[in-house]
Amino acid sequence: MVELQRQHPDSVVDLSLHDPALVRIKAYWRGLGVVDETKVTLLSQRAMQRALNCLHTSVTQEELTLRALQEVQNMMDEWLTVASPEKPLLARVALLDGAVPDWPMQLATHSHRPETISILSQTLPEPVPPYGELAMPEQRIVSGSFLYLMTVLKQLLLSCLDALKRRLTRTGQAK
Amino acid sequence: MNPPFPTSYALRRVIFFSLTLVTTLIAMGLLISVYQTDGISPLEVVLLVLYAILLLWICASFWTAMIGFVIRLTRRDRYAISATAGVVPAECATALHTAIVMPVYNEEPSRVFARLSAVYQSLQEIGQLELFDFFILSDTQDPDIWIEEELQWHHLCQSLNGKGRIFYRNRFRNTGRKSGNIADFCSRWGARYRYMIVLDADSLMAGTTLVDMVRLMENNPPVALIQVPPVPVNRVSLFARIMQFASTIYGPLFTTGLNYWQLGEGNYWGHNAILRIQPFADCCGLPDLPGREPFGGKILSHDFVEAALLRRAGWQVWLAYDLGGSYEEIPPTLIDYAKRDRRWCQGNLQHTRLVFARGLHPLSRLHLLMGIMSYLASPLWLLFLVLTGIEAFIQAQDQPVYFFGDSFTPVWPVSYAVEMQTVLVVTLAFLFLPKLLALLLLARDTQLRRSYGGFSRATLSVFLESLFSVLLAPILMLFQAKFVLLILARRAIGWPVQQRDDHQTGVKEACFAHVGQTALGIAIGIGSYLYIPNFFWWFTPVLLGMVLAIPLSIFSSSVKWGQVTQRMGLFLTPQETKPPRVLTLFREAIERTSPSKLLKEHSFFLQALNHPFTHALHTALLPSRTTNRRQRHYLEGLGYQLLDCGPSSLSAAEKRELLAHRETLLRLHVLLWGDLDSEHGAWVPEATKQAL
Repeated sequence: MVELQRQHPDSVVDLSLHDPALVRIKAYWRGLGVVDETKVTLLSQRAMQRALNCLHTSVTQEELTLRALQEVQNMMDEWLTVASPEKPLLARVALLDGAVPDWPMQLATHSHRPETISILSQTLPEPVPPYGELAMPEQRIVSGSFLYLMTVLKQLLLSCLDALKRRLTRTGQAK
Repeated sequence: MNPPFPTSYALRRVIFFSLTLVTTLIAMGLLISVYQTDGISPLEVVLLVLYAILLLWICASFWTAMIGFVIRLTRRDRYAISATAGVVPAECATALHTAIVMPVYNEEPSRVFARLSAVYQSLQEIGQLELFDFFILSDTQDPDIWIEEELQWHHLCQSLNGKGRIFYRNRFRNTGRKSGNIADFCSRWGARYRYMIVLDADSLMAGTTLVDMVRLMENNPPVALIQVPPVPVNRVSLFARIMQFASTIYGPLFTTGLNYWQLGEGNYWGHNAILRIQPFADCCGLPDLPGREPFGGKILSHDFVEAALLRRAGWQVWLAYDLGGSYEEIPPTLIDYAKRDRRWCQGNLQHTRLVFARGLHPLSRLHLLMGIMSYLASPLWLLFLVLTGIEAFIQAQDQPVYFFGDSFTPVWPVSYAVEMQTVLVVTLAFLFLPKLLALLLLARDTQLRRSYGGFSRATLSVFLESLFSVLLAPILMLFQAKFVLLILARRAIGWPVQQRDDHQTGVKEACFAHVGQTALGIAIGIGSYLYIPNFFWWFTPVLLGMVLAIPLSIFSSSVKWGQVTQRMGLFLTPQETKPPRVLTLFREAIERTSPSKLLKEHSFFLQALNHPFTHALHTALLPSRTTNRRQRHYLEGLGYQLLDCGPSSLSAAEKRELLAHRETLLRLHVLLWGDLDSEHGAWVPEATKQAL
């Protein structure tokens, strides 16, 4: 169990008490593609602080880590919701794919450069186009019975006889 | 809706069906003359009926090839749909948006996306990309393949700049299999497009062909579907190379002849075809057939039925046999080929419920019947051979009587060897003459001759292919007869995934698949040699195939021998000697789409849970799904099972459940990264290890 220090989210605090959790959070930022260690530390501290503010006074290191990781998600979601309010999930894909190389800086400073929004909107993946719905009614297929087969054959025979009769009539008229 | 067909259409059919019928009657007459000398026994009546059915089938095939040969020789076909190709007006280009749809089900993603990439680039090179959108319609259930498909899709969009043109979606439940997948596409996006071109997971089509297909549809408003026959390519095993060669050299005769008599009442083969979406949606919503599988339930071979329904509504269905640029891949080994046959067999036999369905065009009924016969022919041939053996045995028991009563003059038994041999020669001629006709066509075209490695090599290849087909025929006959019997015994076989890549058949696999056939061949051989030795020698070609099934299956699956024959210039096809551009593009794309470039974890499943980018991509592509309390508890349980016991403790279906719920995934993602105790299950995701 660790005793939590509560501070303002943006203030830098001594988090050495929560070192195992901090190591994980830093690792996660690196996993997200943040390479600058200063940014990694800054963003990790901010996530930790947000976690500390949400939790009860006594929690395990694991609970704190999980909460801090959740806060990382929240921080990114909040930032992306401003950058791409329509499709934040797809914007995250574009971001992690390297569409905006300096996003850690912008995230750390709570800022959105004007071109970031346009770059994100241009690079958003588009898995499917807008719907253009079309009705596809189920067809009725009536299996033919033996009787039906006989009817078809009868019709075929009658039409042949009819054609023959007409032909004979025409020949007779010609004569 | 449609203009009436010209009377010459009817004339073509009269010619074709008369030729088939008359030839069958002549051959039957010869056989009857043999049987009737001492009165026709009930067994002989059965044999005659069987022979009539089988010969009718062979004659139809023979005359189709013969007519195809004449058309190819004279290069004149007034009614070929390709003759109506025009130019798509520039102003229509954007309005004529066509969707190229590729339904996939647990296929190897790297090859699927490489094919799509090749088709895309082929269109790009001719500057017609703006006419088309691409859809990968995934019904994939395997969790690893699902994630790899998503990564491949993203990679393809990036590498080809295909954003907004290449789309991907995965259905959580693959209701209605392939036809359900296409129906789902039509109901969601159908109104955005006038046409759709359906590709199979192993299809490849050249850009020029795709544009031609759109042009043909645009110039023929009464046409709802144009099928372009696919040519098999890309396989290197000996079996596949022989099949590719046979299909490439003989196939055009048959498709040309087929078009001669079917005209606008053609058929649909399920892929490499363009469809007018509105009529397809209006007419082709397939119902479930009454009863349970294998004859009831979902319609498996949907393509024939869809063509029949379009025709029932008055739309025309054509075969553009001379467009070219349409390719597919075939199973690499005999066993894989048989497995595919088993799947198709069930689908085709299901059509017995539909042959007499009300309102279908007679030719649509014929197509359904031909599909059924292509599988029913095997058990009928088997029955015919067995009964012939019995008849031969009965004949062998009869001792000739030379003197009757008090007569001193002997009565010599009448020999009908000439008639019997004539029947045999006629049957063999019908089977093998199309091969010679194909060679004749080759002989008169220098360029074509070269593309098959020269006339002498092509002739040798035809000879060897004929030998191979003689050995193969009884094996396939026994396979298909078994499938038909299993299906008649109501043993459904489902829709298993196909193994498409080249691989050698092992001894164990071959023994398991063919041991029954070999044993049967040996038993019949010994029995006939001992009791009806004359019959034995006639029967040797059939027996040889059965007895050699195991070595033949192993040997023909060999990639090494496939390559050796290729170096020797045997079984060469034009696609091998001078690969079309789209095939070259495909081979180049294979390098780019290697899964190893995308795999960052032990498996793609784990990568979706843990790797931040893959996780983000997967969750972004997931549709929102609501879960009830019970489902949430179930998913939570699965999540903890994964954490405690590792991914191997979960089944594929359980992994898929986890991957299909966004909230569960997010929770697992956080749990995996935040797990400070790496002792659990002795596995740590790669991404975490690297970042730490």
